[in-house]
Amino acid sequence: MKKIITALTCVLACVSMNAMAGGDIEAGKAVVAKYACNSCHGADMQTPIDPAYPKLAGQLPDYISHALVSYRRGNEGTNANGRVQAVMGPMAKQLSDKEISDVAAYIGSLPGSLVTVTESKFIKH
Amino acid sequence: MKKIIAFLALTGVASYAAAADVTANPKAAENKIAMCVGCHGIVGYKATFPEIFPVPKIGGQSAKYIESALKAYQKGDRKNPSMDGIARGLSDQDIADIAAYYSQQK
Repeated sequence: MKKIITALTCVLACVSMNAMAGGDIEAGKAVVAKYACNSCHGADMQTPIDPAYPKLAGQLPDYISHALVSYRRGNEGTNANGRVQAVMGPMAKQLSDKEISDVAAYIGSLPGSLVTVTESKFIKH
Repeated sequence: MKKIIAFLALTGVASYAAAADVTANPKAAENKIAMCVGCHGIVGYKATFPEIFPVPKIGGQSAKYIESALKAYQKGDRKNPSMDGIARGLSDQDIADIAAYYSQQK
């Protein structure tokens, strides 16, 4: 029983550590201002200036981190998750890991319209 | 020179015509999202290969962005083992339909 409790405590600790690794919202706000992310993604990160640019407000922070790391990485060689994009590549290459986590936390904290909808019916084939 | 202009005009018309053939039909997407919902239709779903990360919320995202992301996977500007394979199986019509479908979700 004790072992189970210890194991559960470890699991919980890991989960909360992941949450803590989520970055600093206020610091992220400053990074967003510094790199003028709003100039394309919109003042609220929800109304981009061009529909080809994503709405970001409320997106999952760990996905934002993943996307920024992918842009920073580029898609050369055997990079399994890499992205090449003319604007986001040079932007992301300037960011540290900490800045990426902070930006992700800030963007995730913003109110937005992005949703994951559980399909309510069987998929037609 | 005239030939070049004529050629350019023709290719311009042709590419315009090709683009005009694609009209997004979100209703048609209902038969095309079987590969999407296994990840993007599950709240909290995380991709596990080759890195662990939560798949993005795509409901309510702008259709144009969804299109450009899918085309970037087709082209190789974006790489992800799952999305590469799925995107390459889609036609321009499929992409337009799926993008319209997800952009309308609330």
